[in-house]
Amino acid sequence: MTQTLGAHAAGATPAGPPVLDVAGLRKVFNVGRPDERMAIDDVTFDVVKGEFVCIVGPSGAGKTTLLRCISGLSAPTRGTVQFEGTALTEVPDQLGVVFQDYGRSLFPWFTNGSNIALPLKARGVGREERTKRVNEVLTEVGLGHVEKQYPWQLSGGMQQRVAIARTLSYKPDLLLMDEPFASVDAQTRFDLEDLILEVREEAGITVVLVTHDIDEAIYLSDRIVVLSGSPSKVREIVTVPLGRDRDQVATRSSEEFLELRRHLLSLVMPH
Amino acid sequence: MQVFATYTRAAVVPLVTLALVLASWQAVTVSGLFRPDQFPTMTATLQALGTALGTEALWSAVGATLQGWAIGLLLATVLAVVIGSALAANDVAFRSAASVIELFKAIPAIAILPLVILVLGSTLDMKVFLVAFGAFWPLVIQVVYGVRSIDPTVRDTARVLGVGGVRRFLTVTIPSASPYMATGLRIASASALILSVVAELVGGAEGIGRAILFARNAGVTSYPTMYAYILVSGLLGIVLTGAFFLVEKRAMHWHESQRNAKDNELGAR
Ligand SMILES: Nc1ncnc2c1ncn2[C@@H]1O[C@H](COP(=O)(O)OP(=O)(O)OP(=O)(O)O)[C@@H](O)[C@H]1O
Ligand SMILES: [Mg+2]
Repeated sequence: MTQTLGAHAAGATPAGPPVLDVAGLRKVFNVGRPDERMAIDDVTFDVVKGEFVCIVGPSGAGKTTLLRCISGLSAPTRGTVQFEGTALTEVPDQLGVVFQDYGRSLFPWFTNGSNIALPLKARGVGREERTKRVNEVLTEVGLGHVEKQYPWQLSGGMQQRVAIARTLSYKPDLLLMDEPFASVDAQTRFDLEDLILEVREEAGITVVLVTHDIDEAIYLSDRIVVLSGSPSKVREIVTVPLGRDRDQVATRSSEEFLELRRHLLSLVMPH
Repeated sequence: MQVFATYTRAAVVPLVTLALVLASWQAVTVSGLFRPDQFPTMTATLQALGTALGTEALWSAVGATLQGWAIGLLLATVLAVVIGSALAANDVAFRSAASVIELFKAIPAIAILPLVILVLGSTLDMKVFLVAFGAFWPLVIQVVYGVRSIDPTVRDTARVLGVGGVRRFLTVTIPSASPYMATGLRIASASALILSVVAELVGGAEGIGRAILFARNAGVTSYPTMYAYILVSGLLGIVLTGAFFLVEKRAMHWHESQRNAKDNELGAR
Protein backbone atom coordinates (compact mmCIF):
# COMPACT_ATOMS: atom_id res chain seq x y z
CA MET A 1 0.00 0.00 0.00
CA THR A 2 0.98 3.64 -0.15
CA GLN A 3 1.74 3.95 3.54
CA THR A 4 5.44 4.31 4.19
CA LEU A 5 5.84 5.83 7.61
CA GLY A 6 8.69 8.30 7.82
CA ALA A 7 9.70 7.91 4.19
CA HIS A 8 10.07 11.09 2.20
CA ALA A 9 8.42 12.18 -0.97
CA ALA A 10 9.79 11.21 -4.30
CA GLY A 11 11.39 14.28 -5.83
CA ALA A 12 12.13 16.06 -2.56
CA THR A 13 15.71 15.47 -1.53
CA PRO A 14 16.10 15.19 2.23
CA ALA A 15 19.21 17.30 2.77
CA GLY A 16 20.19 18.54 6.21
CA PRO A 17 17.74 18.80 9.07
CA PRO A 18 14.03 18.81 8.25
CA VAL A 19 12.41 22.22 7.93
CA LEU A 20 9.88 21.17 10.51
CA ASP A 21 10.18 18.45 13.12
CA VAL A 22 7.23 17.72 15.39
CA ALA A 23 7.88 15.10 18.06
CA GLY A 24 5.42 13.70 20.60
CA LEU A 25 3.32 16.86 20.59
CA ARG A 26 0.45 17.05 23.05
CA LYS A 27 -1.77 20.01 23.79
CA VAL A 28 -4.07 20.22 26.77
CA PHE A 29 -6.20 23.33 27.33
CA ASN A 30 -7.04 24.67 30.80
CA VAL A 31 -4.68 22.29 32.57
CA GLY A 32 -5.76 21.57 36.14
CA ARG A 33 -9.13 23.24 35.77
CA PRO A 34 -12.50 21.52 35.70
CA ASP A 35 -12.85 22.33 32.00
CA GLU A 36 -9.49 20.71 31.20
CA ARG A 37 -9.53 19.41 27.65
CA MET A 38 -6.98 17.49 25.63
CA ALA A 39 -7.09 18.67 22.02
CA ILE A 40 -4.01 16.81 20.76
CA ASP A 41 -2.78 13.59 22.32
CA ASP A 42 0.37 12.58 20.47
CA VAL A 43 1.50 13.85 17.09
CA THR A 44 4.85 13.17 15.44
CA PHE A 45 5.89 13.99 11.89
CA ASP A 46 8.49 15.95 9.98
CA VAL A 47 8.59 17.97 6.79
CA VAL A 48 11.63 18.26 4.54
CA LYS A 49 12.62 21.19 2.37
CA GLY A 50 10.45 21.66 -0.69
CA GLU A 51 7.85 19.19 0.47
CA PHE A 52 4.08 19.71 0.40
CA VAL A 53 2.43 18.06 3.39
CA CYS A 54 -1.30 18.10 4.11
CA ILE A 55 -2.82 17.41 7.50
CA VAL A 56 -6.31 15.94 7.35
CA GLY A 57 -8.65 15.16 10.18
CA PRO A 58 -12.30 15.46 11.11
CA SER A 59 -13.74 18.74 12.38
CA GLY A 60 -12.65 19.39 15.96
CA ALA A 61 -9.69 17.00 15.66
CA GLY A 62 -7.35 19.76 16.75
CA LYS A 63 -5.94 20.78 13.36
CA THR A 64 -6.01 24.51 14.06
CA THR A 65 -4.54 23.85 17.50
CA LEU A 66 -1.76 21.81 15.90
CA LEU A 67 -1.00 24.57 13.41
CA ARG A 68 -0.85 27.14 16.21
CA CYS A 69 1.67 24.98 18.06
CA ILE A 70 3.74 24.48 14.90
CA SER A 71 3.81 28.20 14.19
CA GLY A 72 4.91 29.18 17.68
CA LEU A 73 1.67 30.98 18.51
CA SER A 74 0.85 28.49 21.22
CA ALA A 75 3.14 26.38 23.40
CA PRO A 76 2.67 22.59 23.40
CA THR A 77 1.93 20.91 26.73
CA ARG A 78 4.40 18.15 25.93
CA GLY A 79 6.74 17.27 23.09
CA THR A 80 8.82 19.51 20.86
CA VAL A 81 8.55 21.51 17.66
CA GLN A 82 11.73 22.38 15.80
CA PHE A 83 11.88 24.82 12.91
CA GLU A 84 15.05 24.59 10.81
CA GLY A 85 16.81 22.81 13.64
CA THR A 86 15.93 25.14 16.52
CA ALA A 87 13.17 24.79 19.08
CA LEU A 88 10.36 27.31 18.77
CA THR A 89 9.93 30.08 21.29
CA GLU A 90 8.32 32.79 19.18
CA VAL A 91 6.95 32.85 15.64
CA PRO A 92 10.09 32.59 13.47
CA ASP A 93 10.77 35.35 10.94
CA GLN A 94 11.00 32.86 8.10
CA LEU A 95 7.59 31.33 8.76
CA GLY A 96 4.39 32.34 6.99
CA VAL A 97 0.88 31.53 8.15
CA VAL A 98 -2.39 31.91 6.24
CA PHE A 99 -5.33 31.68 8.60
CA GLN A 100 -8.61 29.85 8.19
CA ASP A 101 -10.51 33.12 8.47
CA TYR A 102 -8.85 35.40 5.93
CA GLY A 103 -11.72 37.90 6.15
CA ARG A 104 -10.66 38.76 9.68
CA SER A 105 -6.96 38.31 9.10
CA LEU A 106 -6.62 41.14 6.57
CA PHE A 107 -6.60 44.52 8.31
CA PRO A 108 -9.62 46.49 7.04
CA TRP A 109 -8.06 49.85 7.94
CA PHE A 110 -5.20 49.27 5.48
CA THR A 111 -5.36 49.09 1.71
CA ASN A 112 -4.34 45.79 0.13
CA GLY A 113 -0.98 47.36 -0.68
CA SER A 114 -0.37 48.43 2.93
CA ASN A 115 -1.49 45.03 4.18
CA ILE A 116 1.09 43.33 1.98
CA ALA A 117 3.80 45.87 2.79
CA LEU A 118 3.33 45.60 6.57
CA PRO A 119 5.56 42.53 7.18
CA LEU A 120 8.17 44.09 4.89
CA LYS A 121 8.09 47.31 6.92
CA ALA A 122 8.52 45.28 10.09
CA ARG A 123 11.60 43.72 8.50
CA GLY A 124 13.10 47.11 7.68
CA VAL A 125 12.66 46.92 3.89
CA GLY A 126 12.89 50.37 2.27
CA ARG A 127 9.94 52.12 0.63
CA GLU A 128 11.03 51.64 -2.98
CA GLU A 129 11.82 47.98 -2.48
CA ARG A 130 8.46 47.52 -0.74
CA THR A 131 6.48 48.99 -3.61
CA LYS A 132 8.34 46.78 -6.03
CA ARG A 133 7.78 43.67 -3.96
CA VAL A 134 4.05 44.43 -3.49
CA ASN A 135 3.61 44.58 -7.27
CA GLU A 136 5.62 41.40 -7.71
CA VAL A 137 3.58 39.29 -5.29
CA LEU A 138 0.29 40.68 -6.53
CA THR A 139 1.24 39.46 -10.01
CA GLU A 140 2.43 36.19 -8.52
CA VAL A 141 -0.98 35.47 -7.01
CA GLY A 142 -2.74 36.53 -10.18
CA LEU A 143 -4.18 39.83 -9.00
CA GLY A 144 -3.89 43.02 -10.98
CA HIS A 145 -3.55 46.44 -9.42
CA VAL A 146 -5.64 46.17 -6.29
CA GLU A 147 -3.04 47.73 -3.98
CA LYS A 148 -5.02 50.97 -3.64
CA GLN A 149 -8.27 49.21 -2.86
CA TYR A 150 -9.33 47.90 0.53
CA PRO A 151 -9.68 44.17 1.31
CA TRP A 152 -13.42 44.51 1.91
CA GLN A 153 -13.88 45.82 -1.61
CA LEU A 154 -12.74 42.47 -3.03
CA SER A 155 -14.47 39.10 -3.40
CA GLY A 156 -13.66 36.29 -0.98
CA GLY A 157 -11.37 34.53 -3.44
CA MET A 158 -9.47 37.75 -4.14
CA GLN A 159 -9.15 38.46 -0.41
CA GLN A 160 -7.60 35.05 0.07
CA ARG A 161 -5.13 35.84 -2.72
CA VAL A 162 -4.20 39.09 -0.95
CA ALA A 163 -3.68 37.17 2.30
CA ILE A 164 -1.44 34.71 0.46
CA ALA A 165 0.43 37.57 -1.23
CA ARG A 166 1.04 39.21 2.14
CA THR A 167 2.57 35.99 3.43
CA LEU A 168 4.68 35.45 0.31
CA SER A 169 5.94 39.05 0.32
CA TYR A 170 8.73 38.29 2.78
CA LYS A 171 9.64 34.96 1.15
CA PRO A 172 9.14 32.60 4.08
CA ASP A 173 10.88 29.20 4.05
CA LEU A 174 7.78 27.44 5.35
CA LEU A 175 4.19 28.30 4.56
CA LEU A 176 1.49 27.07 6.95
CA MET A 177 -2.11 27.24 5.80
CA ASP A 178 -5.23 26.47 7.81
CA GLU A 179 -8.10 25.33 5.57
CA PRO A 180 -7.29 28.22 3.25
CA PHE A 181 -9.87 27.35 0.60
CA ALA A 182 -12.73 26.21 2.82
CA SER A 183 -14.99 29.18 2.20
CA VAL A 184 -14.65 29.88 -1.51
CA ASP A 185 -16.63 28.36 -4.38
CA ALA A 186 -15.43 25.23 -6.20
CA GLN A 187 -14.00 27.01 -9.25
CA THR A 188 -12.03 29.51 -7.13
CA ARG A 189 -10.90 26.66 -4.98
CA PHE A 190 -9.39 24.80 -7.95
CA ASP A 191 -7.69 28.00 -9.12
CA LEU A 192 -6.23 28.68 -5.69
CA GLU A 193 -5.01 25.10 -5.34
CA ASP A 194 -3.15 25.40 -8.62
CA LEU A 195 -1.86 28.80 -7.57
CA ILE A 196 -0.32 27.35 -4.43
CA LEU A 197 1.27 24.49 -6.39
CA GLU A 198 2.76 27.03 -8.80
CA VAL A 199 4.05 29.27 -6.03
CA ARG A 200 5.61 26.31 -4.32
CA GLU A 201 7.28 25.25 -7.57
CA GLU A 202 8.62 28.72 -8.37
CA ALA A 203 9.61 29.90 -4.90
CA GLY A 204 10.88 26.49 -3.77
CA ILE A 205 8.80 26.99 -0.66
CA THR A 206 7.83 24.24 1.79
CA VAL A 207 4.12 23.99 2.52
CA VAL A 208 2.06 22.48 5.31
CA LEU A 209 -1.66 22.76 4.65
CA VAL A 210 -4.53 21.76 6.90
CA THR A 211 -7.74 20.59 5.28
CA HIS A 212 -10.69 18.35 5.95
CA ASP A 213 -11.08 17.65 2.23
CA ILE A 214 -9.41 14.37 1.31
CA ASP A 215 -9.46 15.05 -2.44
CA GLU A 216 -7.75 18.37 -1.93
CA ALA A 217 -5.13 16.74 0.27
CA ILE A 218 -4.31 14.10 -2.35
CA TYR A 219 -4.26 16.62 -5.18
CA LEU A 220 -1.81 18.91 -3.40
CA SER A 221 0.43 16.71 -1.26
CA ASP A 222 3.60 14.77 -1.38
CA ARG A 223 2.57 13.26 1.95
CA ILE A 224 -0.60 13.33 4.02
CA VAL A 225 -0.67 13.20 7.81
CA VAL A 226 -4.00 11.61 8.75
CA LEU A 227 -5.21 12.52 12.22
CA SER A 228 -7.69 10.58 14.31
CA GLY A 229 -10.66 12.28 15.95
CA SER A 230 -10.23 14.32 19.11
CA PRO A 231 -7.88 14.11 20.98
CA SER A 232 -5.86 13.52 17.89
CA LYS A 233 -3.10 11.08 17.21
CA VAL A 234 -1.42 10.36 13.89
CA ARG A 235 -3.42 7.57 12.35
CA GLU A 236 -1.12 7.17 9.37
CA ILE A 237 1.26 9.13 7.16
CA VAL A 238 0.39 8.43 3.54
CA THR A 239 2.83 9.06 0.70
CA VAL A 240 1.29 10.42 -2.49
CA PRO A 241 3.37 9.22 -5.45
CA LEU A 242 1.68 11.38 -8.08
CA GLY A 243 4.76 13.33 -9.18
CA ARG A 244 5.07 17.10 -9.47
CA ASP A 245 2.87 17.73 -12.48
CA ARG A 246 -0.73 17.81 -11.42
CA ASP A 247 -3.83 18.65 -13.35
CA GLN A 248 -7.28 19.17 -11.89
CA VAL A 249 -8.96 16.90 -14.43
CA ALA A 250 -6.32 14.30 -15.26
CA THR A 251 -4.89 13.87 -11.77
CA ARG A 252 -8.21 13.69 -10.01
CA SER A 253 -9.51 11.00 -12.37
CA SER A 254 -6.35 8.88 -12.44
CA GLU A 255 -6.37 5.34 -11.12
CA GLU A 256 -3.73 6.13 -8.44
CA PHE A 257 -5.76 9.09 -7.21
CA LEU A 258 -8.86 6.98 -6.78
CA GLU A 259 -6.86 4.26 -5.07
CA LEU A 260 -5.42 6.77 -2.59
CA ARG A 261 -8.86 8.23 -2.06
CA ARG A 262 -10.29 4.82 -1.22
CA HIS A 263 -7.49 4.23 1.27
CA LEU A 264 -7.83 7.61 2.95
CA LEU A 265 -11.58 7.30 3.19
CA SER A 266 -11.21 3.96 4.94
CA LEU A 267 -8.85 5.70 7.38
CA VAL A 268 -11.10 8.61 8.26
CA MET A 269 -14.45 6.82 8.23
CA PRO A 270 -15.52 5.89 11.74
CA HIS A 271 -15.00 2.22 12.44
CA MET B 1 -37.90 63.85 -8.55
CA GLN B 2 -38.85 61.88 -5.50
CA VAL B 3 -35.31 62.11 -4.23
CA PHE B 4 -35.45 65.86 -4.66
CA ALA B 5 -38.69 65.95 -2.69
CA THR B 6 -37.10 63.92 0.12
CA TYR B 7 -34.14 66.25 0.32
CA THR B 8 -36.33 69.34 0.26
CA ARG B 9 -38.50 67.98 3.01
CA ALA B 10 -35.40 67.10 5.06
CA ALA B 11 -34.15 70.67 4.72
CA VAL B 12 -37.47 72.49 5.08
CA VAL B 13 -38.96 70.77 8.13
CA PRO B 14 -36.22 71.82 10.61
CA LEU B 15 -36.29 75.37 9.22
CA VAL B 16 -40.05 75.60 9.74
CA THR B 17 -39.65 74.32 13.29
CA LEU B 18 -36.92 76.86 13.97
CA ALA B 19 -39.06 79.68 12.61
CA LEU B 20 -41.97 78.57 14.81
CA VAL B 21 -39.79 78.49 17.92
CA LEU B 22 -38.40 81.96 17.18
CA ALA B 23 -41.88 83.32 16.51
CA SER B 24 -43.27 81.98 19.80
CA TRP B 25 -40.26 83.38 21.61
CA GLN B 26 -41.08 86.78 20.16
CA ALA B 27 -44.78 86.33 21.00
CA VAL B 28 -44.31 85.43 24.69
CA THR B 29 -41.86 88.30 25.26
CA VAL B 30 -43.68 91.04 23.36
CA SER B 31 -47.06 90.09 24.87
CA GLY B 32 -45.60 90.70 28.33
CA LEU B 33 -45.89 87.10 29.55
CA PHE B 34 -42.22 87.46 30.44
CA ARG B 35 -40.65 90.73 31.51
CA PRO B 36 -37.54 91.87 29.59
CA ASP B 37 -35.40 91.40 32.74
CA GLN B 38 -36.42 87.74 32.74
CA PHE B 39 -36.37 87.00 29.07
CA PRO B 40 -35.45 89.53 26.36
CA THR B 41 -37.24 89.52 23.03
CA MET B 42 -36.03 87.37 20.18
CA THR B 43 -35.31 90.37 17.99
CA ALA B 44 -33.29 92.13 20.70
CA THR B 45 -31.31 88.97 21.33
CA LEU B 46 -30.57 88.33 17.68
CA GLN B 47 -29.59 91.95 17.30
CA ALA B 48 -27.23 91.63 20.25
CA LEU B 49 -25.87 88.43 18.69
CA GLY B 50 -25.24 90.27 15.42
CA THR B 51 -23.41 93.02 17.26
CA ALA B 52 -21.44 90.55 19.40
CA LEU B 53 -20.36 88.56 16.33
CA GLY B 54 -18.66 91.73 15.12
CA THR B 55 -16.73 92.31 18.33
CA GLU B 56 -13.30 90.98 19.13
CA ALA B 57 -14.41 90.24 22.69
CA LEU B 58 -16.70 87.47 21.53
CA TRP B 59 -14.13 85.77 19.34
CA SER B 60 -11.42 85.88 21.97
CA ALA B 61 -13.92 84.39 24.43
CA VAL B 62 -14.73 81.64 21.94
CA GLY B 63 -11.00 81.11 21.40
CA ALA B 64 -10.36 80.83 25.13
CA THR B 65 -13.15 78.31 25.59
CA LEU B 66 -11.92 76.25 22.65
CA GLN B 67 -8.39 76.40 23.99
CA GLY B 68 -9.43 74.87 27.31
CA TRP B 69 -11.53 72.30 25.48
CA ALA B 70 -8.72 71.32 23.11
CA ILE B 71 -5.80 71.17 25.54
CA GLY B 72 -7.84 69.35 28.18
CA LEU B 73 -9.19 66.85 25.69
CA LEU B 74 -5.78 66.24 24.15
CA LEU B 75 -4.21 65.70 27.56
CA ALA B 76 -6.99 63.32 28.60
CA THR B 77 -6.71 61.41 25.32
CA VAL B 78 -2.97 60.90 25.52
CA LEU B 79 -3.16 59.79 29.15
CA ALA B 80 -6.17 57.56 28.52
CA VAL B 81 -4.54 55.84 25.54
CA VAL B 82 -1.28 55.19 27.39
CA ILE B 83 -2.81 54.14 30.71
CA GLY B 84 -5.77 52.33 29.16
CA SER B 85 -3.58 50.25 26.86
CA ALA B 86 -1.26 49.33 29.71
CA LEU B 87 -4.21 48.27 31.87
CA ALA B 88 -5.79 46.29 29.03
CA ALA B 89 -2.60 44.34 28.48
CA ASN B 90 -2.61 42.93 31.98
CA ASP B 91 -5.53 41.01 33.46
CA VAL B 92 -4.62 41.58 37.11
CA ALA B 93 -4.00 45.29 36.57
CA PHE B 94 -7.28 45.61 34.72
CA ARG B 95 -9.33 43.93 37.43
CA SER B 96 -7.74 45.90 40.24
CA ALA B 97 -8.10 49.21 38.43
CA ALA B 98 -11.64 48.67 37.13
CA SER B 99 -13.43 49.49 40.37
CA VAL B 100 -11.25 52.53 41.06
CA ILE B 101 -11.98 53.88 37.59
CA GLU B 102 -15.71 53.29 37.98
CA LEU B 103 -15.58 55.18 41.28
CA PHE B 104 -13.75 58.18 39.83
CA LYS B 105 -15.99 58.15 36.79
CA ALA B 106 -18.99 58.44 39.11
CA ILE B 107 -17.65 61.65 40.67
CA PRO B 108 -19.16 64.58 38.76
CA ALA B 109 -16.16 66.61 37.65
CA ILE B 110 -17.89 69.78 38.86
CA ALA B 111 -17.68 68.46 42.43
CA ILE B 112 -13.91 68.94 42.44
CA LEU B 113 -14.17 72.47 41.00
CA PRO B 114 -13.85 74.29 44.35
CA LEU B 115 -10.74 72.30 45.13
CA VAL B 116 -9.21 72.95 41.71
CA ILE B 117 -9.93 76.68 41.95
CA LEU B 118 -8.35 76.74 45.39
CA VAL B 119 -5.16 75.11 44.11
CA LEU B 120 -4.83 76.60 40.64
CA GLY B 121 -6.86 79.83 40.78
CA SER B 122 -8.90 81.31 37.92
CA THR B 123 -6.42 80.24 35.29
CA LEU B 124 -6.21 78.31 32.07
CA ASP B 125 -4.48 75.54 34.03
CA MET B 126 -7.54 75.26 36.23
CA LYS B 127 -9.81 74.96 33.23
CA VAL B 128 -7.56 72.43 31.50
CA PHE B 129 -7.33 70.32 34.62
CA LEU B 130 -11.08 70.25 35.08
CA VAL B 131 -11.70 69.38 31.42
CA ALA B 132 -9.00 66.69 31.41
CA PHE B 133 -10.32 65.19 34.65
CA GLY B 134 -13.86 64.99 33.33
CA ALA B 135 -12.83 63.61 29.94
CA PHE B 136 -10.26 61.11 31.17
CA TRP B 137 -12.49 58.58 32.94
CA PRO B 138 -14.99 57.83 30.19
CA LEU B 139 -12.11 57.80 27.70
CA VAL B 140 -9.88 55.42 29.62
CA ILE B 141 -12.73 52.95 30.01
CA GLN B 142 -13.38 52.99 26.26
CA VAL B 143 -9.66 52.52 25.55
CA VAL B 144 -9.48 49.51 27.90
CA TYR B 145 -12.55 47.88 26.37
CA GLY B 146 -11.39 48.73 22.87
CA VAL B 147 -7.96 47.21 23.34
CA ARG B 148 -9.40 44.14 25.05
CA SER B 149 -11.90 43.60 22.26
CA ILE B 150 -9.21 43.01 19.65
CA ASP B 151 -10.04 40.04 17.48
CA PRO B 152 -7.69 37.14 18.39
CA THR B 153 -7.18 36.50 14.67
CA VAL B 154 -5.95 40.07 14.26
CA ARG B 155 -3.57 39.69 17.19
CA ASP B 156 -2.23 36.36 15.88
CA THR B 157 -1.83 37.82 12.40
CA ALA B 158 0.29 40.67 13.74
CA ARG B 159 2.51 38.21 15.61
CA VAL B 160 2.87 35.92 12.62
CA LEU B 161 3.80 38.81 10.34
CA GLY B 162 6.52 39.80 12.78
CA VAL B 163 4.86 43.12 13.57
CA GLY B 164 5.72 43.95 17.17
CA GLY B 165 6.41 46.69 19.67
CA VAL B 166 5.47 50.27 18.87
CA ARG B 167 4.62 49.39 15.28
CA ARG B 168 2.08 46.81 16.43
CA PHE B 169 0.59 49.31 18.86
CA LEU B 170 0.18 51.99 16.20
CA THR B 171 -0.80 49.89 13.19
CA VAL B 172 -2.86 47.16 14.82
CA THR B 173 -3.88 47.89 18.41
CA ILE B 174 -5.03 51.49 17.95
CA PRO B 175 -6.99 50.93 14.72
CA SER B 176 -8.63 47.84 16.24
CA ALA B 177 -9.68 49.78 19.31
CA SER B 178 -10.63 52.92 17.41
CA PRO B 179 -14.41 52.29 17.18
CA TYR B 180 -14.53 52.24 20.99
CA MET B 181 -12.19 55.21 21.22
CA ALA B 182 -14.35 57.21 18.82
CA THR B 183 -17.37 56.65 21.06
CA GLY B 184 -15.31 57.67 24.08
CA LEU B 185 -14.08 60.79 22.34
CA ARG B 186 -17.58 61.80 21.30
CA ILE B 187 -18.77 61.59 24.91
CA ALA B 188 -15.60 63.26 26.22
CA SER B 189 -15.77 66.08 23.70
CA ALA B 190 -19.31 67.02 24.72
CA SER B 191 -18.54 66.97 28.43
CA ALA B 192 -15.27 68.83 27.84
CA LEU B 193 -17.16 71.78 26.37
CA ILE B 194 -19.58 71.82 29.29
CA LEU B 195 -16.74 71.69 31.79
CA SER B 196 -14.83 74.38 29.95
CA VAL B 197 -17.82 76.74 30.18
CA VAL B 198 -18.42 75.81 33.83
CA ALA B 199 -14.79 76.53 34.69
CA GLU B 200 -15.29 80.02 33.21
CA LEU B 201 -18.72 80.66 34.66
CA VAL B 202 -17.98 79.42 38.16
CA GLY B 203 -14.20 79.42 38.21
CA GLY B 204 -13.73 82.77 36.49
CA ALA B 205 -11.32 81.64 33.79
CA GLU B 206 -11.44 83.55 30.52
CA GLY B 207 -13.98 82.39 27.94
CA ILE B 208 -17.64 82.31 26.95
CA GLY B 209 -18.76 81.28 30.41
CA ARG B 210 -17.18 84.35 31.97
CA ALA B 211 -18.60 86.54 29.21
CA ILE B 212 -22.09 85.29 30.11
CA LEU B 213 -21.45 86.12 33.75
CA PHE B 214 -20.12 89.62 32.97
CA ALA B 215 -23.11 90.39 30.74
CA ARG B 216 -25.46 89.38 33.53
CA ASN B 217 -23.64 91.53 36.06
CA ALA B 218 -23.80 94.51 33.68
CA GLY B 219 -27.55 94.82 34.31
CA VAL B 220 -30.85 94.51 32.47
CA THR B 221 -29.72 96.36 29.35
CA SER B 222 -27.05 93.72 28.76
CA TYR B 223 -29.46 90.79 29.05
CA PRO B 224 -29.87 90.40 25.30
CA THR B 225 -26.06 90.17 25.09
CA MET B 226 -26.04 87.50 27.80
CA TYR B 227 -28.59 85.51 25.83
CA ALA B 228 -26.54 86.02 22.70
CA TYR B 229 -23.50 84.51 24.45
CA ILE B 230 -25.60 81.59 25.64
CA LEU B 231 -26.67 81.02 22.05
CA VAL B 232 -23.03 81.16 20.97
CA SER B 233 -22.09 78.44 23.46
CA GLY B 234 -24.89 76.29 22.04
CA LEU B 235 -23.76 76.94 18.48
CA LEU B 236 -20.22 76.04 19.51
CA GLY B 237 -21.50 72.68 20.75
CA ILE B 238 -23.26 72.07 17.45
CA VAL B 239 -20.18 73.03 15.43
CA LEU B 240 -17.93 70.75 17.50
CA THR B 241 -20.35 67.83 17.21
CA GLY B 242 -20.57 68.36 13.46
CA ALA B 243 -16.81 68.62 13.07
CA PHE B 244 -16.39 65.46 15.12
CA PHE B 245 -18.90 63.67 12.93
CA LEU B 246 -17.00 64.62 9.77
CA VAL B 247 -13.60 63.67 11.19
CA GLU B 248 -14.95 60.33 12.40
CA LYS B 249 -16.53 59.65 9.01
CA ARG B 250 -13.18 60.20 7.33
CA ALA B 251 -10.96 58.42 9.82
CA MET B 252 -13.26 55.42 10.23
CA HIS B 253 -14.26 55.10 6.58
CA TRP B 254 -12.97 51.51 6.59
CA HIS B 255 -15.21 50.44 9.47
CA GLU B 256 -18.37 48.45 8.81
CA SER B 257 -20.66 51.09 10.31
CA GLN B 258 -19.35 53.75 7.92
CA ARG B 259 -19.24 51.33 4.99
CA ASN B 260 -22.91 50.47 5.54
CA ALA B 261 -23.81 54.13 5.84
CA LYS B 262 -22.20 54.76 2.46
CA ASP B 263 -23.99 51.75 0.90
CA ASN B 264 -27.31 53.04 2.12
CA GLU B 265 -26.60 56.47 0.68
CA LEU B 266 -25.85 54.93 -2.68
CA GLY B 267 -28.83 52.62 -2.40
CA ALA B 268 -31.14 55.56 -1.79
CA ARG B 269 -30.13 57.20 -5.04
N1 LIG C 1 -8.34 28.15 23.49
C1 LIG C 1 -8.99 26.99 23.70
N2 LIG C 1 -9.43 26.66 24.95
C2 LIG C 1 -10.06 25.51 25.16
N3 LIG C 1 -10.34 24.59 24.23
C3 LIG C 1 -9.94 24.83 22.98
C4 LIG C 1 -9.25 26.05 22.64
N4 LIG C 1 -8.99 26.03 21.32
C5 LIG C 1 -9.48 24.87 20.86
N5 LIG C 1 -10.05 24.14 21.84
C6 LIG C 1 -10.66 22.81 21.69
O1 LIG C 1 -9.76 21.96 21.04
C7 LIG C 1 -10.45 21.14 20.11
C8 LIG C 1 -9.79 21.25 18.76
O2 LIG C 1 -10.07 22.51 18.20
P1 LIG C 1 -9.46 22.96 16.78
O3 LIG C 1 -9.98 24.30 16.50
O4 LIG C 1 -7.99 22.78 16.82
O5 LIG C 1 -10.13 21.89 15.80
P2 LIG C 1 -10.04 21.82 14.21
O6 LIG C 1 -9.58 20.47 13.87
O7 LIG C 1 -9.25 22.95 13.67
O8 LIG C 1 -11.57 21.98 13.80
P3 LIG C 1 -12.18 22.58 12.45
O9 LIG C 1 -11.99 21.53 11.39
O10 LIG C 1 -13.63 22.73 12.79
O11 LIG C 1 -11.50 23.86 12.16
C9 LIG C 1 -11.89 21.59 20.10
O12 LIG C 1 -12.66 20.66 20.81
C10 LIG C 1 -11.89 22.91 20.81
O13 LIG C 1 -13.05 23.04 21.59
MG1 LIG D 1 -9.70 24.63 12.42
